[in-house]
Amino acid sequence: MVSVRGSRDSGAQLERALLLLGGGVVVIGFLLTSLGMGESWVRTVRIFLVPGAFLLASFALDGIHSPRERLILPMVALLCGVGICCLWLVDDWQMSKQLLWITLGAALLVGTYHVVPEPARLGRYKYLCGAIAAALIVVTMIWGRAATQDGPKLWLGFGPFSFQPAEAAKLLMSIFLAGFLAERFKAQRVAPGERSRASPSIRYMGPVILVVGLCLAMFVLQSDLGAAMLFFGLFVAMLYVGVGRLQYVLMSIALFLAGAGLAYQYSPKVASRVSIWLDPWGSGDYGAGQIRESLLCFGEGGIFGTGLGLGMVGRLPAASTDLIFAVIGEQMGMLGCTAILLLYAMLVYRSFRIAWRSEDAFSSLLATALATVLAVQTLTIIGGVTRLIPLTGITLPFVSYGGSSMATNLVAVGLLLAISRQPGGSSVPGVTDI
Amino acid sequence: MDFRPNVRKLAIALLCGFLVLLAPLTYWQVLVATRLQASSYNERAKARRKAIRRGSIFDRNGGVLAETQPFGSDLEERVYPLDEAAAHVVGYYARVHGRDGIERTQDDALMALGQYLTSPKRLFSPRWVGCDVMLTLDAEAQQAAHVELGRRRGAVVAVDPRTGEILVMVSAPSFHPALVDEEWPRIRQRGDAPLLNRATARPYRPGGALQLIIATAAIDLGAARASDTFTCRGSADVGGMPVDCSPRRGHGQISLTGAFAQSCRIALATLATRLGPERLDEYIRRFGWRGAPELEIPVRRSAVRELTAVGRADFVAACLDGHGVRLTPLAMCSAAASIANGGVRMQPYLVRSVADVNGRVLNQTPPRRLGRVCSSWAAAELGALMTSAVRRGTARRAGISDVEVAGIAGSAEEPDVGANSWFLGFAPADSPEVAVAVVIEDGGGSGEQAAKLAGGVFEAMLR
Repeated sequence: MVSVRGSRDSGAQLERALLLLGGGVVVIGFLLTSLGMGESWVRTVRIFLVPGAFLLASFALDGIHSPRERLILPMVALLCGVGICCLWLVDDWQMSKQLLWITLGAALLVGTYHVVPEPARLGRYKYLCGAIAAALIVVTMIWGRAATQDGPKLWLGFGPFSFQPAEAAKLLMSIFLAGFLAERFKAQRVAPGERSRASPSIRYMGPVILVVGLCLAMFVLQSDLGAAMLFFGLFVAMLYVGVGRLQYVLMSIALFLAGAGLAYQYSPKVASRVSIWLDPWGSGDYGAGQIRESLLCFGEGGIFGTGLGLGMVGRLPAASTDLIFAVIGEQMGMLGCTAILLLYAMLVYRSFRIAWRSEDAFSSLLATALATVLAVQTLTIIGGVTRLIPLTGITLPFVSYGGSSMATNLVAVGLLLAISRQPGGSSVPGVTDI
Repeated sequence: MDFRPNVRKLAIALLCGFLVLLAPLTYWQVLVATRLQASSYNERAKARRKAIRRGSIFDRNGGVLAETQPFGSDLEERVYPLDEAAAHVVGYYARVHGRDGIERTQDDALMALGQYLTSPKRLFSPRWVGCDVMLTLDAEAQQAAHVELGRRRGAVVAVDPRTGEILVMVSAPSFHPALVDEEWPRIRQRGDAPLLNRATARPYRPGGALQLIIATAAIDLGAARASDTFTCRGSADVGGMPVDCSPRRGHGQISLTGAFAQSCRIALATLATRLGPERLDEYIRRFGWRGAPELEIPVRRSAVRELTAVGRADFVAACLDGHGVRLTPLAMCSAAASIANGGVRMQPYLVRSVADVNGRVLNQTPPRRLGRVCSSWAAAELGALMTSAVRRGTARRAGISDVEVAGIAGSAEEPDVGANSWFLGFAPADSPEVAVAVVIEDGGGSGEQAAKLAGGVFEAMLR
């Protein structure tokens, strides 16, 4: 630890106060969950790991003494805590493992923050990142493991360990896209005599379209529709930010719809997803039960919810991962769901705020990409479980069970916090930036 | 060129996405939440039932009519101490074939589901217990009426005329409520419908029950007095219709009291034509025979034709023989109770109160006045007519020693069933405590069987 007394900083105090407040909410929530489940309160002691890990992270982050974003960490900690409360009801063992993932993830967050002192430099590795992302996805497609016999191959395994490359790929892809676009902007800036409306032409986007298209094709072939949706959303968003013309966005969406139409025609899996979405009550398809049970959860929760630990999620498939928001909906009701949505919205807003406050083009674009990933992922899965759009398997950031997802998302938070550091200096005299 | 404005626009678009998500949430969690909770796909209700110990059903004196008892190490069974005697009212709670009777209609109270879902106590107690339902039934009288009916088909209803509390409601043949699942195929195969609650759901042709309407209307409107005399020569032409009386030679000069007690058809037909269909319709309505009756268990409405709508020929037949008229035993009993209560009709009810597991009364049914059938003076006159019918008329067999009984009895040919024997009345005649209606299918014999059975019920209840 650096012996600078950063806690004098009012931002740091605010962050810690919010972390304590959120930690208190989580501990009380966990206690209520234990009551609702009829578990001994002694077992709630574990929960102190979550606020503890994030408080420690807060102190460790201030090892580099520089003003940074202060609201994101408490919000992330609260989301992780809520996730743990809901996971307990679903699966005690998964909840215990998730505690480990959160602790490790918090360490990774701090590590990322310190290892990437100047996020702007990451842009140099953009092609490497893009290549690794593509390679990961191809490798998974060939040697990957699937959860069920004919399910999508989503995991890469090494002995007893396995991880979800799509999660890592979304980070790498963000770096690739941000780096690529930043370079275009740089090139533009040196060209004299250009009018201000000029922006990177779509012609320069060739490599991007290639890599993203490759990934999308892989995902679609694997029927990992959630990841395909996420990558597509990220691509379109970055395309819009980089090119600044709505036509391209509309064109992409038209292309997407055409692709979706083709998939509906020729892929029985996609067709079944859509028919389930259109009529979950009448459909006898495997998987219709998933969305039905999800909606029943929301109905059961009503406005106020059944109460923590009092949900009946025994029949809900994938309750700990894809459908965790339905578990929240049942136990915390419409009010709880709205609060969680608000939390995500604020998190997304603060992430974007980092993006437009950052001086460096690459950092700004990277923050944009990370914020977009967070937003699109959240919107996709919550829209899916509430039947606004067809349900695709993807995790709810910070809440769903899963080590890869938790680690990647916390690393992304670490990156965002690193970007939020104001370069060139600190408001505290005597401390120099590394 | 700066891309940051684009970032702003992107952020706004994505944040709007979060706003949009509120729409499906509101839809599922507020607008259709109740429908989802009741969905047949929803297994929660079933699972919740297992976590709740169902409340008991008691009679008016606290005797057990239904309760849940432990069975084996971790199982439970529902026991019905009165078994067949109260099966139709209490109903059944079967694993496979669902619920019926009070077990069905008071299910929410017995499981206390509403409180279960909102009570914070649920967090601390491992086992939730439903509420107890106390009925107005009198278990002893119920048992007695069941025994009296024996193997005959029919129904007995007894009501406290002052409050409308149903004291006895027996239907036969009956079934074993605890063994519904086991005996289901046999119950369904039987031709005599043991599951049918004849007291509330089987309208019978009442034969001369409409003579009660005729007499009430005549006395209440002052169209006739008890002492008015009619001439009966065995057969006559009333309002253009030939009417035969029994005995063949006629009753000669007969007072209204006598005509009522002896069911003199010529006197009653004369009186009915004198009153006309409009007035009789009005009194049928006042007795509540046309409206949709309410009760805590399913009840069918009686079917009474509009007398104004029938031809003149059918009018006399309807008044005398009940053509086009069908009454449930409950409706008959309610009519007797209205006269016993000085002409004021009370709402019959079965559930006295609902109390939680600690005995705190959550819900008590107050007696409810439905309206006036006739003046109290007319009711007293009618009581006197009915008393004489028991003393020396058709309802003679209903009489018991020490207590004056008022009532009328009769029988009606019913296609496929035979002659139904029926009785309705109350006792003691001067200060009525109980009104009774009895119908015995294929009982025949101008209501003797029903009157005798009613006598037994009065005896059981007033001694």
